[in-house]
Amino acid sequence: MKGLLLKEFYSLIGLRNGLFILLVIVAFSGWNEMSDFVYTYIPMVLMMLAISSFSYDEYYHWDSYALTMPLDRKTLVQGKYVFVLLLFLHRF
Amino acid sequence: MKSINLNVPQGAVVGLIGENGAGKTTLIKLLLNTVQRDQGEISILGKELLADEKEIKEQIGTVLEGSFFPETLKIENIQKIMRCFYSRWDQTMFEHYCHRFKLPYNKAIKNFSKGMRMKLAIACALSHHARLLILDEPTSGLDPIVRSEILELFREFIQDETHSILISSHITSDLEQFADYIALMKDGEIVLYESYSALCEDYGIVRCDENDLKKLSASEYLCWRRNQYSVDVLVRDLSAFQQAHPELLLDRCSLEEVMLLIVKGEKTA
Repeated sequence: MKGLLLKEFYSLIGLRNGLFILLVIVAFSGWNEMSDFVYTYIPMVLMMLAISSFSYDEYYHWDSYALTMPLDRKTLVQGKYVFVLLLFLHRF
Repeated sequence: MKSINLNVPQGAVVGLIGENGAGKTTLIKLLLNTVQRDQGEISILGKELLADEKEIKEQIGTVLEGSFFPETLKIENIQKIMRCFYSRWDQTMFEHYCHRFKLPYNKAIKNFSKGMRMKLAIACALSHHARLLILDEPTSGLDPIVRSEILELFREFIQDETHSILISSHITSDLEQFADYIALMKDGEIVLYESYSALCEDYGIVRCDENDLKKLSASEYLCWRRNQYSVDVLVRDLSAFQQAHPELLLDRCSLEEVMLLIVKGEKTA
């Protein structure tokens, strides 16, 4: 399970930098009346990250390779759920 | 897929050959439980596949075609991930392989050349003390130099007699160098399973014309195929055939010729 989460984390790390810069730009450009936009923006970005992780897996056929490791399908699916859950626990 | 009986003896290298679509990759997927089977039993390293899947997979190293980690990862990430998956992950061995292949730790895999990617996949498969290697076309698309380096790795692996390899490839020249047994698949079933030495020494090709072919009885040969000017006939027992028909021209055959004859040839005159 830990390996799966590490893999998700590492594969999205490249995206994270670009999105962070975008966030900074958005936060500073609308600091008068649109400062609340940030609260919508962050969950949207996280949702994008979650969806990208699925398309990465699909594109690189990760699931075929993952099943050759001592994992069962249940753990693989659980790992995905936990990852998406962790993304949305950013509030805490 | 039709029903298949395949036995990979310990300490042996079994080469799986066949045309594209013959079922080699499907067979490998069945062995790895990526695809569900309808009937039959699969036991690997003495354990039943469905019951002890995790323990079996701890001891299997795989290299699959077109399926690996997402390419945004770097080697330093991959080794941390692999350490979590395999209880017998050997970090020193992995570093040793990466150093030997000169693989950079800090570049994302998408910037690697095809040969480097394959070497990395093999390093991952070899670094957790696996006893069985299952390889699906590990050398396709690679230049001859990289191919010989990779085959050298497999030879080192098989030095240990408790290790075995099942390699699926259509580069028959690679298999000729180190396979012990050859299984030829056609249309979802194994049509030939022989030791490589038997294929080299006992099997042969008769080059004759159609009249000579008609004189032979069907039990004397396996199959035949028409050429531009002559007919090639595949025979299982060279010496016996030569004694029976001393006037015909006999040759030993390469793996590729055997494959072509069995897949494309006809059974009866």
